[in-house]
Amino acid sequence: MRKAKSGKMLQEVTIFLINFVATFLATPFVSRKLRELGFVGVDVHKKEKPTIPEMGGIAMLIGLIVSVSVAMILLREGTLLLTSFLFTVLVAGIVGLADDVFVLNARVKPVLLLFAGLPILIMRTYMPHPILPFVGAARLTIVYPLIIPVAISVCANAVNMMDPFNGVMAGSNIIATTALLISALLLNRGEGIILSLILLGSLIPFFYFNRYPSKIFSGDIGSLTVGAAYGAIAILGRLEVVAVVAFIPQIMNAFYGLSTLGRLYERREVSRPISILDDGRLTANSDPSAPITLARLILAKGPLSEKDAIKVFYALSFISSVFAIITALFTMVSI
Amino acid sequence: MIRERLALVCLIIFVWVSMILGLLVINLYIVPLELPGVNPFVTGVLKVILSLFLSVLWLWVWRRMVVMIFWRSIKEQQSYI
Repeated sequence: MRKAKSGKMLQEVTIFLINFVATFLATPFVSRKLRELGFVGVDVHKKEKPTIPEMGGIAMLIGLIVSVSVAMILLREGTLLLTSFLFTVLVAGIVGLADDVFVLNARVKPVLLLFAGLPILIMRTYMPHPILPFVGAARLTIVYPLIIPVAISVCANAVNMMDPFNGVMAGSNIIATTALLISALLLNRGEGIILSLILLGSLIPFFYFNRYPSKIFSGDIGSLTVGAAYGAIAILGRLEVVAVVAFIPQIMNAFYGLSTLGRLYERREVSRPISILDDGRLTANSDPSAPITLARLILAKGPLSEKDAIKVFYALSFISSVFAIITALFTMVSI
Repeated sequence: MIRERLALVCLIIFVWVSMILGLLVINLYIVPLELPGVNPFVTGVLKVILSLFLSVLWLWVWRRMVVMIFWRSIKEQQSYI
């Protein structure tokens, strides 16, 4: 029994390491190619406005494809579950790629992302009984399948909207996914453990290149892929409520932006929520027509350097993740 | 830094606690609701409406808090300058 358990753990660690190495090797290569092809963006929060290769999320997608394929071979069980995860991530990645290359309408993107939830629905790899804190399993046989495409689309868009500074998208998602991993370990959810390890295997090496000062940006292909993967882990790993709690900063950011403008928007369509002072620090824009994003809310208290603003983002993600783990413990209790 | 932004931490705590309490209230009081003599379908619709009302109320309170915190912080910053 113990031997079988340690053997499975070894397989999980191997899958994580393969993904880690694949993404770590792919990122600089993808970065060079993107610069050669002219896929670069301006780092707007730096005074010198450097150009950085965009769409680095391609490297994460490569890592995810490699690791899921290896997981299918090594684990020999849960192939359907892994296939639905892979296709969810791939559909979101394709939508992200289309958005990076052609710039999709702010209303079209969430609709297209609904298709990312279809693989889970079609392959029936979900359990329509989310486990709620203090309550136990809830029966949502009819509603649950309807929620899946919406949940994947919301997660992908929420991650996409929370990419304001260098490394925030990757860093805050590393923290949230680690909370999912710890919760899955506490609740003994095998699917949650393996899928969280797969996502972390892509995020951690990418973060090494994406952290402040960024050498590569993830682009929409990266943020939508990560968001869809996170949503899929929540559903397939049966960690729905835990995932929502760990995701509070992302939800806050999306909700504030949407509720202040009253509609979906593209960053270039609206007044910038943040401006740069002469000393290079960032400050909240006091224009009432700008969306109240989490970054603007953080900077409303006073100007900060980009590095310090990033630390506040990580701190908020960390706090939410601690609450997420506590929530996981609450799901073990029934009133 | 984070100490200066305690309002944001309080906001996270508010969202977390109210979400768990809301789920509890829905599951303990709204889901088991039975109205004698009323069609079960109508009771089901009523349960959904009640739950939706609670969720919208939660979002409204949350939004009010954010707007208040944001503009108060901006005013404080401007008066300091």
